[in-house]
Amino acid sequence: MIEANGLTKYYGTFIAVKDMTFRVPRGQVVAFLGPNGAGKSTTMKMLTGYLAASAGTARIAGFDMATDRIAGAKRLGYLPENGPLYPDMTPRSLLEFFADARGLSGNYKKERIEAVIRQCELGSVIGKAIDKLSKGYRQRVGMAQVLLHEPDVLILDEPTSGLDPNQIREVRGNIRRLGEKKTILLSTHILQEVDALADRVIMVAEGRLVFDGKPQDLLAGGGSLDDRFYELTRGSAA
Amino acid sequence: MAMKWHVLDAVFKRNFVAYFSNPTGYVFICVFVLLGSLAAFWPPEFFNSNLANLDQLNRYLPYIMLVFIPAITMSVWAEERRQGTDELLLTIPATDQEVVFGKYLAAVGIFTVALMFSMVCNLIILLRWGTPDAGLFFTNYLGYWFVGLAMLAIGMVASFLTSQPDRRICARPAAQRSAGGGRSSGHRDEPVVGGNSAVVEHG
Repeated sequence: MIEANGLTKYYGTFIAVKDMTFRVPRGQVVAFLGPNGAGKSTTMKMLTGYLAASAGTARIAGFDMATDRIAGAKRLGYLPENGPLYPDMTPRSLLEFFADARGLSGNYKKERIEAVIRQCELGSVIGKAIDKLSKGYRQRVGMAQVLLHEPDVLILDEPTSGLDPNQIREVRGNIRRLGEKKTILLSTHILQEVDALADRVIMVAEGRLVFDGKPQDLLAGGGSLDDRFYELTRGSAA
Repeated sequence: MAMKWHVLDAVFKRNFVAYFSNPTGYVFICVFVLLGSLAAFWPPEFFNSNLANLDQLNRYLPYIMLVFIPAITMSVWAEERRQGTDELLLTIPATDQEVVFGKYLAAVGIFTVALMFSMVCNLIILLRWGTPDAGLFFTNYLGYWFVGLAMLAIGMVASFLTSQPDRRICARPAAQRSAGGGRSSGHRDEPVVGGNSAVVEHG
């Protein structure tokens, strides 16, 4: 459902991502780990079609994002890093905007908006301007936007970044529920998230894939997750 | 290429309403109307010629628009980039052309509203002092509108360039840009308004 095949991104002579190859089958939740500057966000942006790859292919639900991005984008929900939203809009007007832009209409549009408002518990803030909302609520609005069109594939770039422990718990619960039906690739710095959420771990450092396997395989050599993370990614940019 | 009207409509409404949800938008429109009237009637030639027309405005309007048009267009892409919302907008199932055209239509809408206010004000003043030639008056404004449309297009390109710290997209060979036929499918070689430095940092 998510496929990276030799994905490479150059910025001039700088290699941001080099020959990234992995495949996330339907219904799997994969944690994408790596230090800052490792190439996680760049890889995700190439997968979503926002950035073009210098080499290699990205596929979402079988659609090549270089040649068939529109078909892929219909099946994809993407939460960018820091959950950017239009601050002057209310959650409802934002959801209506994305529903219209995605071509949802009539009763289905109304039903989907009400469903994500319920699912993300936005009822109490639905009429407030987004710039007046707390970080936790803004993240919920971002998730509501992601889920609006019932995508099969979710790419979430640090969905718990900047949230307090209670909010992290809520987001994790939400992702865990979604993971039962959808294919999810989520990047994170929080190693505990791997245990809590992921069926599989992909670790990157300096733009290269350094580990791809189950969380328990990561710990097979002994030591804690922190130790293994340091071991596999040391020497890369902090 | 057929455009998806629901995308144009959504992007148009979003940008049009956003401009008028900010007091600065109204201030700029007021300033535009005021400057337009001052340019038309303040110069002594208006009364000396004893003609109820917009000859003086014809001379000064391009300079007024040189300030007013960027006030509309400068935020079109720069603001999306600053907020990071370009990532949302450019990953919906829509082509670049649909998103760009929707934003352009919104800019045209805002400019048209401002021009209509200016037209009504100047018409009232001309009617107060004389009998303007309706054909000449409205053709003048049609001309202003066309000049504005061209300037808005240029202003949008400027907004896109100023929000893109990494300008390699301009220097990249055209052959590479069109490789793979990605444009026609809505895929972009670089983010339309993406700053690559940020991408690397957050990687």
